[in-house]
Amino acid sequence: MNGSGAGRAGAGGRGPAPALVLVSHSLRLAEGLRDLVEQVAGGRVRVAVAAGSGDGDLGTDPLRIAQAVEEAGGGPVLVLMDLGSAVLSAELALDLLPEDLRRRAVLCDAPLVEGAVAAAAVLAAGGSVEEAAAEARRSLAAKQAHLGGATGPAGEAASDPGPSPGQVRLRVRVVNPMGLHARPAARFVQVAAGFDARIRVRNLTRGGQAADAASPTQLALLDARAGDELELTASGPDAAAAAAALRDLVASGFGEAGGTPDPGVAPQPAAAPVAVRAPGAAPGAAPAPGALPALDVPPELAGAARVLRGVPAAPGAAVGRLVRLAPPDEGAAGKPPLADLRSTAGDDGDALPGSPEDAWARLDAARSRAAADLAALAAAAPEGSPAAGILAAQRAMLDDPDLLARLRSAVFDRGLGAAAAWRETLDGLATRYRQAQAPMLRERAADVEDLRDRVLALLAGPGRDAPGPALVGDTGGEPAILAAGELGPAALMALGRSAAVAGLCLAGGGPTAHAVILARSLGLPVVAGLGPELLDVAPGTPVAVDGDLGLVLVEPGDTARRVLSARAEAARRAREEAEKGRHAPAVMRGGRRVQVAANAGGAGDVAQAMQQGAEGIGLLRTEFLFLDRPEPPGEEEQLAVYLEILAAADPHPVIIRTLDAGGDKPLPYLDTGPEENPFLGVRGLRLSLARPDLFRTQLRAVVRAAREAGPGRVRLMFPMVSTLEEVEAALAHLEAAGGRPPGLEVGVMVEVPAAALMAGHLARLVDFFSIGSNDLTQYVLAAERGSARLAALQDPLHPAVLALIAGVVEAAHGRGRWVGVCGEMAGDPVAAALLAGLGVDELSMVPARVPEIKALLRRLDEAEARAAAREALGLASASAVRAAALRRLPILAHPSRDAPHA
Amino acid sequence: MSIEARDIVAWLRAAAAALEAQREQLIELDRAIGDGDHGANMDRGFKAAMQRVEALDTTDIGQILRTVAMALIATVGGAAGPLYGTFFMQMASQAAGKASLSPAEWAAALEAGLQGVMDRGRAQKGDKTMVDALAPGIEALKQALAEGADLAEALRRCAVAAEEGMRATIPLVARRGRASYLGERSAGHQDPGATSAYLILRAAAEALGAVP
Repeated sequence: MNGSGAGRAGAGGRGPAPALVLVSHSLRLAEGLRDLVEQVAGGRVRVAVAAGSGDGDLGTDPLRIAQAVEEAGGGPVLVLMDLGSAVLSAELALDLLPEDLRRRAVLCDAPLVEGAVAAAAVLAAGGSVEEAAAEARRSLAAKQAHLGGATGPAGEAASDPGPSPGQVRLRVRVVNPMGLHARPAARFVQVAAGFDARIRVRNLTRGGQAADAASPTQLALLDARAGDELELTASGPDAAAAAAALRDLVASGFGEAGGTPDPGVAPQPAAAPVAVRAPGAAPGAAPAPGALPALDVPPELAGAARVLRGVPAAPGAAVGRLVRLAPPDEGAAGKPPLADLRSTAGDDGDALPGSPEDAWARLDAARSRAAADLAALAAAAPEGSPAAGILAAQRAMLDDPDLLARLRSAVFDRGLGAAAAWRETLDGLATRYRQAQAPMLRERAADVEDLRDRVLALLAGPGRDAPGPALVGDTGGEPAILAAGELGPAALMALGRSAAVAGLCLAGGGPTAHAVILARSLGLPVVAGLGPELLDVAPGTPVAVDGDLGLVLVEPGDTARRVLSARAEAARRAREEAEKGRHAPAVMRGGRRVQVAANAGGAGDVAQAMQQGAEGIGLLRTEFLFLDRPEPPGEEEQLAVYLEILAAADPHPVIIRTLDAGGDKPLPYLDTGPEENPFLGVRGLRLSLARPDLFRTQLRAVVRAAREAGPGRVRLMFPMVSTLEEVEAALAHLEAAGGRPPGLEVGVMVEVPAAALMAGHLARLVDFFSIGSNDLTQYVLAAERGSARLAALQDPLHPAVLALIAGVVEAAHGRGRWVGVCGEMAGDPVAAALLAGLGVDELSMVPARVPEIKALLRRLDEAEARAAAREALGLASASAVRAAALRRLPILAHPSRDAPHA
Repeated sequence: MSIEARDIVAWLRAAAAALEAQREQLIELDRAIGDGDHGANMDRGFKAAMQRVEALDTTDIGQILRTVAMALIATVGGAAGPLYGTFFMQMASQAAGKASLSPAEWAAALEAGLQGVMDRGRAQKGDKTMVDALAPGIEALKQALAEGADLAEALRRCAVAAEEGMRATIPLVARRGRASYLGERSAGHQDPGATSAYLILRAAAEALGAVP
């Protein structure tokens, strides 16, 4: 400890002083350790020893431990123990104590010697027991770093003592192509946080330090890539469940396998040379910037003053003038390193010198504000866009315990002001990312810097906003093409929404940079990895971007301008046409109308859906009400949210799906427990029937919302239905929850093949069906949704899936019931056309897809679509279905370029 | 047909006698895969427990079992102390204030004890621990009672199932406790904890099998 402990004295100034209890099998060990601790604590921390068995032999005695806690002086107590029975005895000791004493004691799973010294240092400096426990847990890191670096993973494995009692240790291989990068890491932290367990993760393949599952940063720095083996070690009451859930999460590829909703994510760039693609071809695995061979510029693009070559990161074209981002703040990016800042009280955010506590409070406020801003940006992003996940990962970084610890040390131990501490900490983190081996990780540095500038701007003054997208460069009325070194996701979201930018060129970055993924979802062409020479191009210079070939033409020739402008224009027109007609009904040639609705996972999506021309909410996922909270929502809260959503969707109908949770989507208060195979476990309606308390509450809220909103506005839908008995039971609950008000339609999701095959019987009980094509495909083809290796089996166009859908439509229409599709296929042009041909009455999709699907349906001939669907049912594979549909329905051959990749 | 406080004391006496008789065997077993103190610890713990129990003057079965629990916690030393302590503590809370237990109550008390052990040690069946003898034994006891067997027969089946469970630990790889440090090398040895658990359940068959 250096002498700056006084700054933290306030933290420990409340109530009686904390104490340390040392539990060991050996009295001599514990007493020796007490001497060691006293050296650090210098009499400022009470240290009690509870060691040896009752009769003085080696062993541990719960009664003695209980007594030590009792006599610790009435303050909080941190208990550190050695191994084996010491852990059990300490736990039992707490059980033997009265409630108030028990609550004051914290059992710490840190190594005894290192932990005791580290904890004593924190306590002596006035830290809390929780801080001391956290420090104790980290205390092994120094030794690990020291020895681990020399011995590498093999040496570590050899000295690995195996799990200690109470620990669960599992191994799992990373399967998703991108590995444990920022978004999976954030998801990992989120899942881990749902359990009462302490979890550490090691990368057995690459070695290095273990990561705390509470720290997205540490997890990302494991540099875990596809094929790496991870070891999860969990301790604490939920250890087994936590380890199993995390293992499943990793094994499932974090649901981001190839072919799933994030089509833009390319696999890890291969080092193979790249072939020149024809214009218009979608970029596949993009090469690393350095691996590009000198490729010939196609003749029609010749004649530019300079050609910059980069990585084709998002398809499309744009012609305009180059602009640059205005520096967010004079201090933000290029300030001198902290040696100068330390003494500069007048630095951007540190104009008011104050105590470390003041600095910390200002940092707290700025961090909360930044989190709120990022949440708002994420909420404004279209559903299905990768933005939400990316921004959530950034938000998680704000609360990263590792980052906070460094920040705390900068403020309290070294007396830095708020802005200087933030800058130094984030710069350090960005540097760590930049030095990482994997390109994926190096690209995360931009996210960190984005966050750095955002918070610095907030610290700079209450009146100032987060970094706005101020652009520099005269475009003379032409479209703006933004050139930047790198771009953070949040800045890009802000730019994308302002529609000020038509294309994006990056000196750094790569196809997996978050900003690039977002740009792709916004339909912006992007060329990345252009190198520093890009930044030499003066703002205002005419440029053209070819996102298909990865070229930036500086002062392009006339032909190139014309060709690329025409391509940009064609894409824009198709989008515009769809946009213009988005509020018109989707009536096919021949006169049949298909309802086009949107899926929503919250109130924000509903407004977005209506704006995109959705004719209702075809699937309201109510899980958002239940997630991230310790207790389920009550009836009144649910009612209020449903009414808010109904108001936003007015006058359209809203299909409220009851809670679809289970082993695959666990909730803290639902004791779902680990399941061998959660997709085949207690989920959806099965779970609701097992938890009638939760189910009834939701049904009462839906019934009341239906009564209040009036007939026809609310539809109720049950997920994951397998049998008639389940539906009968659910309807009985509905009766008990207030009955069906007039005009409340009740339907079931068809995800389970049994439900599809029994649709004729189910039609007696319900008013409508909605086909959950993602799950239906998974169950029909027995191919887990999240598995990258099974991506080829997850095509809902497989004739077996289509045949089941055809059967449901026939059975339903025979009894006057209607059928919708609310899976991802509803938003895919080829699938949408075939579904319309099969007679499906409603398609529900992510809001952003609504205008284009409506436009497509309007151009589609009813009889041709029917014939194409009939033909598809007789084909033998999904690829044959797709090929035949494209052949038979020529309008599908020219889908607008932002159609989902098949 | 019920189990009185004196029957409980008879059971504990029989268990203490069995643990004393098998002390060396337990030490041998524990030396193979643990630290070799299980036999001595259990013997010492149960002797201390019986000293205190014999000094009691009560018909409260809960109090008797609680006395055993506290004695084991204070004197056993190794992990068996908190684990058996928890076992008897949980039994005690089921039997609190009762001077006699029906066979069903007896089974429920044992089951609560087992649950306590599993919670405390985070152990499941198959982890090569005392749970591997306790769980099948108690399961067999419950089933026998459910099928209408009398207490003596149910206890006999309980002991048989516990013995089978104990033997079944031989090929297992330990996942809890000191033996888990040995990993694969722990296979091929009978688990000492399962053995002492079997001895305690067998003592019940011996002492309570004659309950009228």
